[in-house]
Parts: sequence; C-alpha cells; structure tokens
Amino acid sequence: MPRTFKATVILIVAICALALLTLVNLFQTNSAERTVLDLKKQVDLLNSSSERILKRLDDGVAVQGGNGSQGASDGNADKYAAALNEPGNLLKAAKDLQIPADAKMGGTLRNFLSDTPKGYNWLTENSVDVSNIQRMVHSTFARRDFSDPDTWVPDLAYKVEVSPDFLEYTISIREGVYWQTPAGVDFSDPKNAWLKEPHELTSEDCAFYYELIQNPQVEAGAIKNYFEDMDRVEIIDKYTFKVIWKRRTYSSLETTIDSYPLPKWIYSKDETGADLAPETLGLKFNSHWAAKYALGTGPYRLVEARAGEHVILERNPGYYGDRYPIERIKYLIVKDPEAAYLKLKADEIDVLPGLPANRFKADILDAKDGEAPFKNGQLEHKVVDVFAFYFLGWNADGKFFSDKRVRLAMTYALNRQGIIDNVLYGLGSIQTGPFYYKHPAMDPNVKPFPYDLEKAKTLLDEAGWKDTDGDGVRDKLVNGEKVDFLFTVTSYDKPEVKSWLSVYKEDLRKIGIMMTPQPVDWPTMQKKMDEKAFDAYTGGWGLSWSNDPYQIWHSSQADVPKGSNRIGFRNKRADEIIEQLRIEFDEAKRLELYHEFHRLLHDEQPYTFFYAPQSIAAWQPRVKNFVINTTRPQLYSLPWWIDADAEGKKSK
Amino acid sequence: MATYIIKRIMLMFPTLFLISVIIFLVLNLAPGKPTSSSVTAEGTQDSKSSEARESYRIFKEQFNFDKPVMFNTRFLLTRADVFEELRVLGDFARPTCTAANTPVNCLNADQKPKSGRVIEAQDVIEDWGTYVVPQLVEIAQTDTRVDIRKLAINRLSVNAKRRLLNEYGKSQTPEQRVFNREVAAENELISAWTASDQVTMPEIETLMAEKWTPWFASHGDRWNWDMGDKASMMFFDTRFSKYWGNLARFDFGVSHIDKRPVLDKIMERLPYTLTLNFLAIFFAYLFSIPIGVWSAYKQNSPADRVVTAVLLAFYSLPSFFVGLLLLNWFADGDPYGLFPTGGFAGQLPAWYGESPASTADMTTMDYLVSASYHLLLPVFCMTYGGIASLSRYARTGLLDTIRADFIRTARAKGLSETMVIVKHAVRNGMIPVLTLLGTMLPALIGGSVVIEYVFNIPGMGLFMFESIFARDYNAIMGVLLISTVLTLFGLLASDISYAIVDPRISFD
Repeated sequence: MPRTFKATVILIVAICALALLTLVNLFQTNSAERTVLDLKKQVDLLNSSSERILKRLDDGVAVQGGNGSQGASDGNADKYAAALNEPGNLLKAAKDLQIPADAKMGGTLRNFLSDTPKGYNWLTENSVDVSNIQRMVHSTFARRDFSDPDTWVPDLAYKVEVSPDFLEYTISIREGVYWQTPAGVDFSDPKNAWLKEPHELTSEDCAFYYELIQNPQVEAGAIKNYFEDMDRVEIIDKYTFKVIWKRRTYSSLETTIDSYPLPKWIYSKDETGADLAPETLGLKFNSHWAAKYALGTGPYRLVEARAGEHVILERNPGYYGDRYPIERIKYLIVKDPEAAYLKLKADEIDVLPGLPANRFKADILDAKDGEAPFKNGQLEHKVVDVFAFYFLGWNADGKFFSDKRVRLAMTYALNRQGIIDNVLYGLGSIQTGPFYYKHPAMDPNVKPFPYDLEKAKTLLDEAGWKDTDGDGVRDKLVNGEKVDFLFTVTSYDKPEVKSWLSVYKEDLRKIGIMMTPQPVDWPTMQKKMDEKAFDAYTGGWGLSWSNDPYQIWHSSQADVPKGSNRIGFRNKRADEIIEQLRIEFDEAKRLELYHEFHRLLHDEQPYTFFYAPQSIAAWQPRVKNFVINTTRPQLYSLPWWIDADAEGKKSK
Repeated sequence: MATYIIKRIMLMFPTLFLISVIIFLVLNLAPGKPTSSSVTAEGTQDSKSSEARESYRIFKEQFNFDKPVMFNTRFLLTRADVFEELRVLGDFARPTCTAANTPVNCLNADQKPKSGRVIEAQDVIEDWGTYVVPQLVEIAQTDTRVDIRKLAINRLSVNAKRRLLNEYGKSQTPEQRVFNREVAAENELISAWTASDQVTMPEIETLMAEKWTPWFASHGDRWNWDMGDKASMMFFDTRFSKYWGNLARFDFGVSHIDKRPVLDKIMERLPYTLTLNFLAIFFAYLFSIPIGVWSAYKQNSPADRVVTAVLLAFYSLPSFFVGLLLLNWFADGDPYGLFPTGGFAGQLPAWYGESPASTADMTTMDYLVSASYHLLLPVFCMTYGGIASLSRYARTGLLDTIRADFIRTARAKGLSETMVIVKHAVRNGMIPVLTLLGTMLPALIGGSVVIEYVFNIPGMGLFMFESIFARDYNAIMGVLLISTVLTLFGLLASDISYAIVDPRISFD
C-alpha cells in the first residue's frame, strides 16, 4: 500500500474542500428551496379549501363565506335542540366547555406527550398518549358533563332512549357528520384516491364498534370485560341503532353511550381498498394498516405525526359542534417530566399537567418572591386532584392480617397527615374509602382514623400479639407455632414510596412490629400480586366517576386467578351491596348503598386507605381561561384560548 | 490476506448463530412475560385494565409465546399430565372448608393449590393447545369427577380450535382462504360446545355423546402422528425455529407493543443515533489526537500534567450529570437560554430566524442549522469523556515510537522537528488509536440510553431501553442481532486495518 505523506495531506485537504463546497451549495439553494416549500404550502391550502367548497356543493348546501363552523348539519340544529327536551331522552344540554366571550380565536397551544402514540386503533390501543389524542380527534356518542358529571350530554348522538327494563338502548346520531381524511397520505398516487372520498358517519360505523368488541379474534382485553353482558347491536336506519343487553346492569348505560364509532369504510378493507376476509377480519384488525391514521369526527384532526418529535393537530373545519378557540395544538414528545419542566421554563411548551415534586418544593414552596418563575408572573400554577388513590393492602389470607383489629392498628400507626405534609409536600388528602374523595358516593360522616400509636398498641394486645419473650417484637401462637410480627411490604420502586415506608417502618418499630420494605419493579410486583405472594403491598387505583366496586371488592374476585381482589377481602354484606349496586338504577338508593359500603370498608380496613394524590398543573400566562375539569380529562384544552400578546416576562 | 478474510467471514456464521442462541435463550428464560397490562406514571392501575383471557391467548398465539422455547415434546404428554393441571384448576374452584361450615365437596385451606400454581396451570394447559385434545376428550368422557369433566370440556372448546393459515400475512391464496373459512366455521361451532358452571353428570354425558365424541371420532386422525411428524414437531414447532424461520427471510418480526415491523421501527430511530454518535466519535478523534501528540511531546512538563489532570477530571464526570447541569444552566432561560432543552431538531437559534411549526417546513439549510443547534450540548456530553481516554491512547502510542531508532535516524537526517513528529512519529504511534475505531462501529448504532433520555432524542438507546422494559422480544432481538453483526465486522475491520497500517503485521 503506498503510504506517502503528501497523498494523505492532499486527501484531507480535498475532503475539507468538498465539505465546504457542499455547505456553500446548501446556502445558495436555500432561498430557492424556501420558495418551493412556501408554494407547496399554498397549493395544499388552495386544494383543501376548494375541496371543502366542492363537498358543500355536493351536499347541496349553499356556500357561505367566513363562518363555516356549522357546516352541513345546520338544517338539523333545531331538531337536535328539541330532542334534548323530549322526556325519554337520557341526554341533557351541556353546560360545560363554555367559550368565554372575550376569547381570541387562533393561536397554537404547545402541549406535550410522553411518547409517540403507538397507533390510532382506538379499540386496541389504550395507552394514555393515544387516548389524549383520541379525545381531541374523535367523539363519543355522549359524554359526562364536565361541570356536572352525573348528567350525560350529547356528542355524536343527540338522543338516547332506554327501554323500561334497561335492556335496550336506542341511539340516534347526527346526520351529515363526515369522517376525517387520513393525513400524510400521498394522494397524487391514484391507488390512494379511495381514501380521500368523503365518508359520512352512519350507524354501520357505530355498530361496527360493538361487533368488533364481540369478535373473539379482537384483542381488546380491558374493554371486552365491560361488554360481557351485551347481547347484540341492531341497525335501525342510517342514523339510528339499538344496543341490546342480556341482563340489566347499571354500568350498561355508560358502557353503551360512552363509546365511539369506528370507521368501517377503512377498517373492513385492506390497503388496496378490497374487503378483508371475514374469517380473519378480527386478527387483521388487531394490527390494521390504517391504525397509523388518526380517524375521527372530533373538533381537531391530526395533520402530522413524527415519531419521537411531535404530533400536530389542527381544528377540524368540518366539525359539527362549537368552534373552539385554539387553531392548532402541537404536542412535543418529551419522555422525562423533568425535561418537560425545563421546556416549560424555556418557553417551549405551554402546559405541564404535573410538576415534579422536588421542583414544586424548590420553585414554589421555598422560592422567594420575584425569583422563581412562579413568583414573578412568568408561569402560573394550580393544584389539581389526580383521579386515583394510594393504599396499603393487607393480605387477609396470610397469618398477620386476617384479624381486623390488627389491620386497624396498622392504620392507627400510619402517620398519614404527617407523611402527606412532610414527604409529599402537602400534595394529597387523606383517603378513607374506595371512591374519589369528593365524590358523593363517599359518606361524609366517615372520619379518618387519627395517628395514635397507643391505640394501635391496645388493639394489637387485644388481638393477641404480645411481646412474650422480651425481644422487642410482638409474637403470637398461630396454629401452635410462635410467630414473630415480622412482615414485608412489597412496593413499586418509587422514591416517595420508599421514603414514606421508612417513616412507617420507624413507627411500627415503636409498637413492636418489624416491617421490611421490599421495592420491586413493576413486572415483579404484578407477579407477586397475582400469586398473592405478599404480606402487604402498596398500590394505587385509578378512579373514574362511575363506581363499580365489583372487581376489587367482591369475594368472588378473591378466588379468580389474577383477580383484582388480591388481598382476599370476603364480606357477606359487602357482596350483597355490590350485587345490589350492579342492578339498582335509582340514584338515591345507590347513594345509600355507596355510603353503607364506604362505612363497611372503613370499619373493616381491608386496605389502609392512604391518600388521594394531587399534582401541580403549570402553564404559561398566554394560555387563558385555563379551566380544570372535575373529572378526567382534567386538562381538556377545548375551552382554553391563546393570548398572543401576553408574553411571559421572559428575557430570552 | 484474502484467505484470512474469507476464513474470518466463514467463522462469523457459527459465532453469530451461537450468540443469537444465547441471546434468545436468555431473553426467553428471563423472568417476566410480555403482557399488555401496564402501570401509569403515578404507579396506579386502572381496575378496568384487568386481563382478558381470550385476548391474551390471541396475543400469545400471534407471537408464538404458546410454543416451547427450544424443543417441543408435547406429543409425549399423557392423560395423567393433563389431569394434574385440570385437578389444580378444579381444586382451586372448590369451596374452602371452615370449622363453622363445611359445604359439599369442600377442601381444607392448606390443600388448596396456591394462586401462583393456578395461574401456571392455566397458562400451561392453554399453551399445550391442540396437542392435548385426545387426552382432554378422554378425560371428558371417562373421568369420575364432574368438575374435572366440565373443565376438560370447556378447555376443549378452546384448545381444539385450529389456527388459520397465514392469518397475519398481507393476503392469502385462494386455497388458504378455503381452508381458513372451513377452520373458522369449525372453530365457531366448537367454541359453543361448553358446559355451564352448574352442569350435572347426565348433562355432560349428553353433551359428549351429541357433540364431542362424534367430532373426535371423525377428526381423531389429526392426532395420529408417525415418527416423522413427531420429529418435525420436536424441532420445528418451537419459538426458536419459528423465529429463525422468519429471520432467514430477513423478517425480524413485529413489535409486541404496536405491532409494527421491528425493522421499520429501528430504521426510524437509526438516523438520530447515527448522526449523534458519528459526530461524537468524529469530534473525539479530532480533538484527542492533537492533544495526545502535544502532551506526549511535552511529556512530564507542567503543561502536560495540567492537561492530564483536567482530562482526568472530565473523564470522571458522569455524562448524564453534566448533561443535566448544562440543560439547567444554558437551556431553560434561568440564567441562560442559549440552547434548546432537547430534541433532535425543530427550533432555530434566535439570530437565524423564526422556527417554523414543523421540521417539514424547513429547508435543508434550516434543518442543518437546527440540528446543530440542538446537538451541540449532547455531542459535547458524549465527546468529552472520549477525548480524555483517546488522548491518553494517543499519548502512549506516540511515547512508544518517539524513542524508537527510526525517529533518531530521522532527526539525524536533519529533518525539521515538525516533520519528524508529524510524518514519522505520529503515523506510527497512532496505529493503536486508529484500530480502536473498528471496535466503535457497534457503538455507532448502539446509542446512549442516558444521553438520549436526558436530551430527549428518540434514538436506538432509548428504543432498546423501552423494549427491554416492555419485554418486547422481537425488538430486543432485532437490535442485538444487528449490533452483533456490526461488532463482528468491526473486529474484522480493526484486524485488517492493523495489517494495512503496519506492514510488520501479516496474516498470511
């Protein structure tokens, strides 16, 4: 190999020169490229507006300039409004999501997602990020009013009627609602032309959803459970269908109407537009090619999604409902909450639903006036209830916690308020029962047990746990064998859980109980819970507005492998209440049952209910009318608006 | 030389195969299973997302998790094996005897099988699939316990279902369609032949006589296997052979998480990692060689010591920590907002112009500026550690040659000092440093989990990290196999480069 020094030097110089030339070339063509991009954009804009006009002409509605929000459904508006006053209609007029009169239209909301959505098959994908997008892009038949969660308000459906035996739901949907066109498709290719044709939402699409849930090949584990008692769905006409249940269950109402149609015109086809074979339809649906398009009928439509970068939504021009102020929403993909906070401070995003706890302490609690961004008006914040609660679950089938006095003693020994104030910086409120702590189902007369070690000692003595050998640890004869009160708490490996467990451990040591925290990762935790291989565990349940205690508290669930009643709670009266709640439709009676159930659990302490967490929502002051809903999704950006003039006091 | 290279490449195949077997076994035998259940960021679960058996079965079937890992001996299962699993399930469902009340057919608490065992029995018998149909039929026909017969019948209605042909493929041939239609019809039929919870012995007898016994009589020959069938089952109806069967067609499979092809997902992330790591390696070499040469030349001078100390200090600083500090100081506007807080591209520096809504609206030039703006901090974090170690290599390499005889000769020849160092000493002294480059090839695509997480760059490191947590076997296998191949080639390249750069080394 020739290895002359000069050759090497020349080669290096040549490479450098080439690189330089490339850069110069880029610089020269830059302005031309920009012009091309701008032109392309204009052409796209022109195309889409001319299409919209053509579509309206097709629909036979006169084209009105400017205010086009009402679209084709204008003619039926009166009918929909009148339907809300019909006595049989379960839906009431909405009072929420009001747009203030001073709201400015337009602007971009810069939000974030923790991961790129894995696909937009609304039925099989139920990760948080996908459902965030779904709420913006798609609509359900009816939804709970955010300001009054016990009433149902119309969305796609304008009328829902139920037969007197609560078995048949008849749902009438709006006419003239069109599916959004898939984004990111190359329509210049004639093979894709069929994707662009307008498709009206019909009861076929609605029925398709229920049919797929019943299809044994479809992988929709979580949702399928709800539909176990559903019998069938019947199409009555183009805009009306009927969902029929096998037996009367209270949850059937929510399950039926808090659902959404699926675009049958695309999910029953393969990529070329040919019909899928019915015998493999379900399997194909699980990984359907069209899942990469977010197809809905909602207020926004997805215009661009780049993996790991961002997802961009724009207002759906064909939306049938109100025109919401924000024009576009750009979700950046940010995995790390800490990084999201940096982005908020750097004015790269507008909203952060949960400030990291240490930042809350440093930048809000301990910050001096004028220094931190929250004190000088650069950012705003508010405490938001998280729809969840945390608890310690006691294995009632184990040797320690079958006695309710022991469980009660464990609750007395847990310094709940102290831990909330000192470990969690006050971001939580004591939980006393299994529902959301502000929900009417909670009996207001139930007061939390105080932190009282003396009381705990007495209860343990009563239960027969005494320190007989003077080693500082209580013991008891169980089945003729002396057992020391040494147990482990299996917990999900999270810093704040570890720190409050160490507080608890110290308190338990004072009353003669040795507790060992055992932090494990999630799969191990899941396995241990499934196998009931724990003395006690720390856990959390996410909550929703509707409460069906069956899955967690019914005794039958304690004997189902992998059931949610992991602690083995078996109580006759509780079973009766739960079964009654499943078929009772009278709200007053339900409330009574709920209250009794709450009192019963409080008395039995199968869990030591710990706290309902709170988080800090933070946002830029340019976001106005920052309404926070009582129920999930609490940060629903529809009524917000952007004040482009109000810049933060940021000097960048 | 050519013989050597060919020999090395031939050796790569068995090496690669062995490595992949090891990875495959470790992955599949590691505790934990891929499931759909997940936990939210707050560590809470929704009570709704409990597992639905049938969905999970379909999931297992699609990804061959119902198959044994390496060898399939299910054709050897006997009635007793199947009975034992059914007994566990049956006993678990029986009521518990207590002192106060002893329901019919009760079992003492200590005799009841443990939950872990029940879950296992459920999985085991489900995974056995069609292999145990004859045993199940026999149990359902002749067993003495009603509950066991009931379980056997209900199991049959699931296990006797046959799989469709090429059901996940893009399209099926007409013959496959015909077969699939027939199988789907049969599956639907038998899935209804179940027994209710309160079934009685006579009812079971009728159900068997009317449905299952005639069905088995007419289809029983499906289970008459000869030696050839058994051998092919043993070796080919396994996860390993299914995986390799696909791999032979360069099909890495689809990810469990979003059912997208693994290769697509890798290709989506590769550009980010490649750019980042290429720049990091490039700059590490660009700076470390001059530093190394300079400090070797000034060996043991105070300046050399200071540089050594500073580089050692840099080397000791963990990059994720430095990354966070840099972000906190220079990115969030408190005190400085000089850089974006992460990401690969998207924002433009203020002096350049306004950032467009999406990178799609950027010209190539804009994109280049934006990417460099975003990558400055992460590349710095990845580079400074490398500079420290590489410059030490360079220093040692040069020190080894600088005392060699040919350097003295060069000086004696009257060459200028620069010429001596740059032309004669450096070229020979840098051989070890250059050959290190070969081993860095896999690092190019491996990615750095920490840096990618801190700077929010959607690269391979993060992909691997997430896949491991989600137990996404296909994705992990895909990434590991690609980086194995690259490592093998990297090692080969580094060996060859030795021979090219240093004529004293020869492989012939």
